[in-house]
Amino acid sequence: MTTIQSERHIVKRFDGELSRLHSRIVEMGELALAQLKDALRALEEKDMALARKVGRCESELDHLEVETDAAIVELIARRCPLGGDLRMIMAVSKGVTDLERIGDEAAKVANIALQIHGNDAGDPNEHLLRDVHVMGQMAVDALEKALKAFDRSDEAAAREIIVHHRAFEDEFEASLRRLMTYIMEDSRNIGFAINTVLAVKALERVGAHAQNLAEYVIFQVKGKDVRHQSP
Amino acid sequence: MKPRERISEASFNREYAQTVGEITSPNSRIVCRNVNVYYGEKHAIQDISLDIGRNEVIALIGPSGCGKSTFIRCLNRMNDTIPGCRVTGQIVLDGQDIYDGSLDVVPLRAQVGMVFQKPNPFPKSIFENVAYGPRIHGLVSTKAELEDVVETSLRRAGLWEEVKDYLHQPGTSLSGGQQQRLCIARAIAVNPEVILMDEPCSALDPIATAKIEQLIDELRSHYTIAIVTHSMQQAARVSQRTAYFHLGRLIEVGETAQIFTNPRHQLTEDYITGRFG
Repeated sequence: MTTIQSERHIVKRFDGELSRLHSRIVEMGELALAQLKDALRALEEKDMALARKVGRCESELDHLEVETDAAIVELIARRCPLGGDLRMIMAVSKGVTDLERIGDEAAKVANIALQIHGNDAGDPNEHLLRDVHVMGQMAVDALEKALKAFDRSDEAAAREIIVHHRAFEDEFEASLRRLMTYIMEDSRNIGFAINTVLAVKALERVGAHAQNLAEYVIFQVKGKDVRHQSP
Repeated sequence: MKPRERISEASFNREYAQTVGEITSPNSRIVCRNVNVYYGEKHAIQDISLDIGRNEVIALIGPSGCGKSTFIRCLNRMNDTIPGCRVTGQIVLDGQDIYDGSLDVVPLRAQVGMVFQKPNPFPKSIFENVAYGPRIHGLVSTKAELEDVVETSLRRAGLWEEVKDYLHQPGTSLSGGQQQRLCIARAIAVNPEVILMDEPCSALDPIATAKIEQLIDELRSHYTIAIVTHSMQQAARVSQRTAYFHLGRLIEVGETAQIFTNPRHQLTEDYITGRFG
C-alpha cells in the first residue's frame, strides 16, 4: 500500500488541510536548510553578520513548529484520519520536531563561527576547520535529499539516505580522531579544537535528523517502522 | 499524481476475487466457506470465506449495498424469511452446519441473537421483553428462575440499575439508548453464543452510543460478536478484527489496528480515508 493518493477525498476541505500541512513542512525544511547553509558560509567566510542572522532566524522555525503542531492536533480532532492519511500526519508531526532541531544545530554552528572568528585571538590553523567543511557538505547533501524524499514520498530515495548515513558516522568518528591529534600535537589548539568538535557534533546531529526524516518517509509510504534497525 | 485507472467489471471480478488478509481464526466459533447469496437473479454476496473467533468482536464495514448486512443475516438464517433469497456455501457454528436441512432455525436464532439498527422492543413491559424468550424456549421452570434470568440479563446489558424499579413499565417508555440495551438484554436472556449487531448505534446519540460500545466490550468475554457499522471510528474502537466488503465481496480482513493504519488493499485504503467515490 502506498500513500501516493491518486484520488481526492470526498470531503474536499480535508484535501486542502492535508495539502497545507504538507506545504508547512516543506517551508520548514527550506528554512532549516537555508539556516544550515548560512551558518556554514558564515564560518567559512568569517561573515559575522550572517552568523548573527542565523541565530535570529531560529525563532522563525520554532514558531512554525508550534503552528504546525497546532494544525496537526486540529486535524486529528476534526477528521480522525486513518490509513495513509494517518501515517502522513504522524510523519509530518515527527518531521517538524527534527526540522526545528536542525535549526537549533545550525544556530550552534553559527555561534561557534562567532566564537572562532569573532574575537581578536586570531584565526585557527586552517587544517582544524577542514573537518567542519567536509561534514558540513555531507550534512547539507543529506538534508537536501531527505527533504526531496519527504516532499515526493520517495521511498527508494529515503532508503538510500539511510544506507549512506553510515558513511556520515564514519566521517564524524574520523574527524574526532584527527582533532584529537591536533590537540596532542600543540596544546595551544585546545580552544579552537573544542569549538571545532562542537561544530562537527552539531553537523553529525543534522545528519541524524536527516536520517530520521528518511525513516518517516518509509513509514508514510510503506507503513513500516524502520527506526533503530541496522541498514 | 497519476490518475487512477477505471476498473472494468471483468477485471474487477478477476482482481478482487481473492480476499486479502487472514480469513481464518485460531479459535473459530463460526466458519464460513464460499458463501454466496442470491436475491432472485441478483448475486448479492459472492464467495465469502471468513472465520469468526470466540470472544471476538469483528466489525463489518463497507459502503451501502456491499453485502455486509446480508452476510450477517446468513449467520442466523434471517435471510430465509426473504422470498427469492438463496444461500449457497457452508456456514458452520461450533461444528454444526447451520444450513443442514434437519436443523431447527428457532433454537438457532436463540443461539445467534440479533440486534437491529432501530431499537425494537416488544409492546410489553420491560420485564416481559426479557422474560419472553427464556419462557418460550423453555429455559426456565420456575418464576424465581425467570426473575433471576431477567435480572442477570439486564445487569449484563448495563440496564438493571436504571430500570429495576420500573420493570413493569412498557419497554417503549425507555429512551432510545435504553431501548437498545433492552434489546441486547432480550438477546442475552436466551443464552446465545453469538450476537449479531446491525448498525446498533446509528439511531442513538453519542452518550447512548458510548454506553453500547462499553457494553460490547464487556459482552466480549461471554459472546462472539459481529457488528455491522458505517462508523469507521466505531469499528476501530470496538473490534479486534475488521472485514471490508465491497460490491458483495470480502476484499480484506485483518487485525483492526492494521486495517485502519496500514490496509493492504487499495479499495480498503480508499474507503477508510474517505476517497471512495
